[in-house]
Amino acid sequence: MIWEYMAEAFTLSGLMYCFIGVLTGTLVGVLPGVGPAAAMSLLLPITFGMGPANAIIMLAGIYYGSQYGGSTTAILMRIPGEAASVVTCIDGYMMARKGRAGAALGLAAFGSFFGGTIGIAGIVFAAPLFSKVALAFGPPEYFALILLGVLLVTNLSTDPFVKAATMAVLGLFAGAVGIDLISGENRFTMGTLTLTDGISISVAAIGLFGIGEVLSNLLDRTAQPHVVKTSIRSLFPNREEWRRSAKPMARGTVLGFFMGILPGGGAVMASLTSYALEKRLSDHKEEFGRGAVEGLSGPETANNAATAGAFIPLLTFGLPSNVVMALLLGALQIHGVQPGPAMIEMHPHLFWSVIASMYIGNVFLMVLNLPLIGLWVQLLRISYTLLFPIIIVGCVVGAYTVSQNEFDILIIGVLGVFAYIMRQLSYDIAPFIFGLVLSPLMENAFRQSLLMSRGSPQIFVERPISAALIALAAIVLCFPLMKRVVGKSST
Amino acid sequence: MTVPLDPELPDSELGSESGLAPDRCSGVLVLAAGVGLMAWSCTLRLGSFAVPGPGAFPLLLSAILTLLGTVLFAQQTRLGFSWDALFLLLRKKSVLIAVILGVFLFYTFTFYELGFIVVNTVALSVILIFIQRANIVTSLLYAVVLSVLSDIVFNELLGLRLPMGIFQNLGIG
Repeated sequence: MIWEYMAEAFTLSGLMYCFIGVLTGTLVGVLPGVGPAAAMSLLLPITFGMGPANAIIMLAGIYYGSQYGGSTTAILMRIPGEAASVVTCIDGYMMARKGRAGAALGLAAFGSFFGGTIGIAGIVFAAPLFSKVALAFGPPEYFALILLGVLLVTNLSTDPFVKAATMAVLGLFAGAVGIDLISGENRFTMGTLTLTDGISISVAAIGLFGIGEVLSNLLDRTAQPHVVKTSIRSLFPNREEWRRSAKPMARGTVLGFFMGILPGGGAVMASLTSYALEKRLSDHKEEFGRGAVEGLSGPETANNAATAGAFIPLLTFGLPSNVVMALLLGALQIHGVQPGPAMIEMHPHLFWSVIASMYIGNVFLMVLNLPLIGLWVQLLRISYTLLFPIIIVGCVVGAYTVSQNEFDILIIGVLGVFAYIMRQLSYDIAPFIFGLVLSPLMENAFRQSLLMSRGSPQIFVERPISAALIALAAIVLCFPLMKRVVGKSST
Repeated sequence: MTVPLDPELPDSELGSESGLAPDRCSGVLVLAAGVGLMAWSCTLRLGSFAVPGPGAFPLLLSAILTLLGTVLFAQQTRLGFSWDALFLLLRKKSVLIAVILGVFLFYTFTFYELGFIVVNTVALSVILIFIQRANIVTSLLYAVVLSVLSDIVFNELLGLRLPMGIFQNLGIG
């Protein structure tokens, strides 16, 4: 039965969109300054004419493809093409400097393939279980889960907690703009029709990530990166490198998958945690930071396993665990699909064809990446002066085609400037878009819960699942304070 | 002018990405935004606890924002409140930011009248010449070629309907 549902991924169009997705993903992963969120938001309008399965197959391909591509720039240039490749810059780059660039690229590609493939198998088994759990969730549980997710994303942000929380609350507020779905009243629209439907997720993402990135690169005049001069003789690691990579890859897969499921976790946290774990467990601790094989293979496997794991909360609870998943949620909603506990039963073709496409995509990536490394290196030499006008055109066309409204172009410009200024003041943009996406869900769950309890906020602590989630949220909220207290007492 | 970064501060407090100055003023802005949004939310129907109105959730959020702004302001005051980050940002980048906003305003208000190719050519040329400081002739040439190619790709190949503007009025396209 499942094989029948998966058939759409094996059609010519399914294979083609999967290929376009992973190729685009690898490209944006390779190119510093263009992340998967920006690429997905740019390509979202193009998916309007596709069926939902093909649209999600292509967009998902961009996400996991970018994890592969990000390692190339990290190894050859010490620049993370994608945020999850930050730790690859350390030991991957040092391996390249030692003349093992080919082996490092090969290990990264194989580790990514291994982590991604096993992670997808994890989705197949875990998603139906999570769907059953999700059926027990009512509005209070959803509110508590979203609150926990927002707090985790805020806590795991690279910026101070208060600043990340500020961005999340601003995002939640921005999500309240437009018609109130319960009363039908206009809110914060300033009398314009453009804002009546609220701020579109794809328009916001294009502005914040697309235009925001371009402005950061243009106004701060980022230097053109230099590629390390090393010969890539063979992409196959030697026997010793394979032996030392086996356990880190296995550990990275398990760790990455579970970190991907956690709200706010995702590929970045998975790779950082894997690096810390391998450093602690390694017999070659002195090599870390100087080209340790374990410091490359573990995190590279973990970030791809996390990419797979991140699909579980999205597909079963309808809740994104990171920004890219939030964009995928937006894409699914645009195509009339509301992910949640009933998704596997209501849209089995979509669910299983996306899973099948991820397997296919991983094979494509493995086949694509190794022979095309030379091409990616050449692409890195393209001047940003040639590249950024293309990104701006993509942003403008992408924003306009969402609803054929020219005022959306103004919105991306304003949001791009907002993103630039906030970054300059050390505010992370990710919690903002996370809040924007979750705002309607959170508000509905909040108001429905109060309606159910006739105004008693005790409903959030009376029900066991909701109470447990609220307790977890309280711990997460107090964590920065506890960390500060512990830090002060130890000094 | 660059302001030396304070070695006593934790990394997270070391301010702007471009190293202009450590941020020690944004708390006031967040506080002001929180109070402003609270006032705006109060103009909506708030309802009751049992039946919350459309203004209830935004009011709750703006109250949290006000609280966060207060905490930030207190932290930044303790570290030595200063407008440097914002002033330096405005002094160094305000013209460039104004050009960018001007370009997007131009896009918005002339998109239908002049059409994608013309508007895009002008907008890209302005960014290339005034912000990227590229050669004028090369910039104009690149902007024209990219706009025409984009129009062919998006309009003809992908079937997205971008406005033709003056070309349509002239009977072309």
